[in-house]
Amino acid sequence: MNRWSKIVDNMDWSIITIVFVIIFIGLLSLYSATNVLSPIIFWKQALWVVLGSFVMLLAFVIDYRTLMCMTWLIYIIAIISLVLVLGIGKEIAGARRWFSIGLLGVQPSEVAKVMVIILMGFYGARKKHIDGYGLRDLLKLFIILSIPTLLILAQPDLGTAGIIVLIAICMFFVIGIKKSAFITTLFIMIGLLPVAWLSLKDYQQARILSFLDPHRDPLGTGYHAIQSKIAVGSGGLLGKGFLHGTQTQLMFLPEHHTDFIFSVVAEEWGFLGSAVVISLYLLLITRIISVGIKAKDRFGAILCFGIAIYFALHVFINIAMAIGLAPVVGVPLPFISYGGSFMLVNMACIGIVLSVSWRRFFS
Amino acid sequence: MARRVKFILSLFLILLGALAIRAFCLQVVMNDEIISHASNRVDCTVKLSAHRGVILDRRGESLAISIAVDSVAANPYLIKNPYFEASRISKILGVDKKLLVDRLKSKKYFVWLKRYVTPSETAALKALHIKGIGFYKESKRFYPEGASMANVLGIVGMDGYGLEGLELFYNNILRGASKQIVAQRDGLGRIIYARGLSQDFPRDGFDLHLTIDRRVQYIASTVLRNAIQRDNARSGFVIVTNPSTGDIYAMASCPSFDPNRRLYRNLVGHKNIAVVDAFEPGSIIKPFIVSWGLDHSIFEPSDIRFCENGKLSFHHITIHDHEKYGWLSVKDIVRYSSNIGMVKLVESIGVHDLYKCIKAFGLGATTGIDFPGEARGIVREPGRWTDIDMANIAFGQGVAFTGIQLITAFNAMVNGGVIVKPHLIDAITDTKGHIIHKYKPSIIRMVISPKASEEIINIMRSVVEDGGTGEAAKMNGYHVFGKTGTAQKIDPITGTYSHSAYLTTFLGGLLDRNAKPIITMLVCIDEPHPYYYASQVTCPVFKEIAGKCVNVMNVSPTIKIAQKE
Repeated sequence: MNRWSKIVDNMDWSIITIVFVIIFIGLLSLYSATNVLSPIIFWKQALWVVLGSFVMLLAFVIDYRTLMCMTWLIYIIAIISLVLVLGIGKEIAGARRWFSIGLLGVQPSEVAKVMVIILMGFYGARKKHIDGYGLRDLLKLFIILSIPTLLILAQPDLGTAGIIVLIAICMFFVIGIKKSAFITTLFIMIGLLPVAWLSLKDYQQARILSFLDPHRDPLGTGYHAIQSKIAVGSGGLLGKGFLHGTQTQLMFLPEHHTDFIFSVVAEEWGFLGSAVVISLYLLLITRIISVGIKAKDRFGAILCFGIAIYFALHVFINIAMAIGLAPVVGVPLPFISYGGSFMLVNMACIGIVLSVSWRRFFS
Repeated sequence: MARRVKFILSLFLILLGALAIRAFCLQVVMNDEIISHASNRVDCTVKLSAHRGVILDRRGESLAISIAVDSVAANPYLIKNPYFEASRISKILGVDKKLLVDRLKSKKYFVWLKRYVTPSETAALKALHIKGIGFYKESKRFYPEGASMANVLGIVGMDGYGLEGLELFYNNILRGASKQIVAQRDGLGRIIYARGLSQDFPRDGFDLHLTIDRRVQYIASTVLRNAIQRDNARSGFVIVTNPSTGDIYAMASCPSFDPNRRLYRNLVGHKNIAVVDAFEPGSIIKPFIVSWGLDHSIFEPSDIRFCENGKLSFHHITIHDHEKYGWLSVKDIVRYSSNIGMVKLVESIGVHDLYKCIKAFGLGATTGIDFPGEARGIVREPGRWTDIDMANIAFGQGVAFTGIQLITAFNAMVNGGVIVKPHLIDAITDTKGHIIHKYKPSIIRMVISPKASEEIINIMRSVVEDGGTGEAAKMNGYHVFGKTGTAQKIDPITGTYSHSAYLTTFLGGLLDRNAKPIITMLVCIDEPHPYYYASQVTCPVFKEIAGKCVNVMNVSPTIKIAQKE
């Protein structure tokens, strides 16, 4: 009894509340986005929420420190599944990103994102440098991380690969890096930009060009961005009301249940809705970081920071994409976009954060 | 580390703030601009097509009607599995599967899968419940009379425009006025009918009431078709008219086509020969010239001319008759169709008046019949006529007229001397039956006097009496008048008159009790063989058609109208 009340008392209820409020908003928007053409999507997502809650509980119950011991195991599993998906994955729209298990698809690249956070935590916690990491450490990490990144690029999935690179860069900065190393890396990255541009596929280049000027191909690569902007813009201050977003209900906006779900929120709930959603994410990220700051060990702290960065990057890129501030790359919105693997991984992350938060009360 | 995390956090704070500002700009500041920009993309015009008017015969029976038929179309954006659906649809509609896959995969909002499907195909397809397949009621033209009327009525194309015949000539009247409305379409191309849509509907097409009598048309086309088969002819036509009003009771052409089967691989039989083709008339020109001479007192019916002994040398050419006629009266020249006699009569008329005669009868000029593609015929300027030309014209060579011209001129000759414009349309009514337009006989001019008209009828009555060339057209109990024609055709290879290809004609009519013509008819059969004389080919056709017409038309009110006049 005493132990039970301890669990309840020490639990970070604010994070759970925020997450479920966002999930609730997400389910509403998903219902609105899909009830006309494919109502089953809503029920699938509801199932994923329930499964995700169990995953969250599991991640909370398991001591996060066991993750540190399992880092390499997780890394190897991630690499194997990324290799396998290239071979036996289901091809959808020209990309092999999913394992097809019955009606449900599993996306190993989502797991890879968390793997990177754990890996960085593992590195950051093991070696403590007062003046930060040098170039040699970076090179080692660079090689380790480049394998999953290249595998994801081969799917091809530019968005996820980009997210992994960004997570890694931000986490380098967080765990501490020598100024000289930071500047060198920066220059190398800038130097590599033209090479990266040339190695992009035609359609990927077209998407980025369309971002700079969506009207150069309004019915092709610019279509998403334009329709999304129209959806968001036509929402106005208070929105058109639940189930009344014309861009969504009338199918002007493709992918509105996955990558462009924010447009649905913005169209139906207006600026008010957008502001509420952005604020909720801001609150969640702030809470996760404060958990990280209070964490009793460095590994837990880095995990939390990594997860905060992970959420922040997704939220920022996804919303920026919806309102025309970022090119159209497939980055979903946590807890709101439709997608099973993504939902499970997000819930697992929250479980890890709760685990870190709760375990600081024990020696 | 906490310091750096806070730095990152504040960076994200700024970035998310920027997102909020951007959202504010889009949603609140630029709101109107974006909405107006978007509406440009969704507005589209929708055409509501009108119901095409029907075509009826003079007794109100349907000759062309529009029936609503389903057509199947798809919106490829809504088709989830084009290969699967294509194979299912292909089985039902019998359309090539590959073609269907191509159409279902195309990046369009609308593709036809099959036009004009049967009700059972519709039912089978509806049972599959395929999302993205639509059924559209389309108006399909149906012609109950089939081939019998096809050359006159013409056809309507897939998109509701008349392509030939009366369907083309009266297209604007039949078609009505379709209406364009502005609607909006959704992201998958489906039309959303917006609020505040104007309520006025398209105006349906008007109905056409023809002067044609379905029964007479049927008789004429059937008898004609049989005759052409029997005489191994190439083609032929029959026109049956009311000489006083210009009403056309029947206008049949052979070969014809089945307008209810849509095979556009060839257009054989699509021609309304009676209106669009001109030909050398041959002997049927003779009564026109004679009536003109009588009217201008150039000769009397009883005047006599020496018709030689079957041969006349005339300016290096020889003109032949069938027999050695010797002296013949004007009446008998027509009765026996003597070419030599005609040449002598024409000599007394003179070149200038002969041209005036032809022109006065409206030969070699369009009649203005309400039908597309009327031919003018050929009559050269008299300044270039030689004496030989004049002699040739006397028996119908060197000029070319259309069937409708000949029957119109013939009507003028027998109805008391007045040219009445021939017409196929009696009235135009709207869908509720209100008369929009009623045709009144339009008298163009007087050609000959009633006296001359009476005289020429008497002369032509002798043609069908015993011994005349048209004896075979004689009917029991009816006064028949007419003139036969057996014209040599020009051989297209040698450029001279052929001795095996003939155009055989009969131009005639029936008199009522008051000796007034009530029905006139032109029968024309092209290249019959082995028999080619009018007495063997066209006279029996005239007799059969006239005999049957008399039976059916006695009970029709139109004959009563004709009799009153």
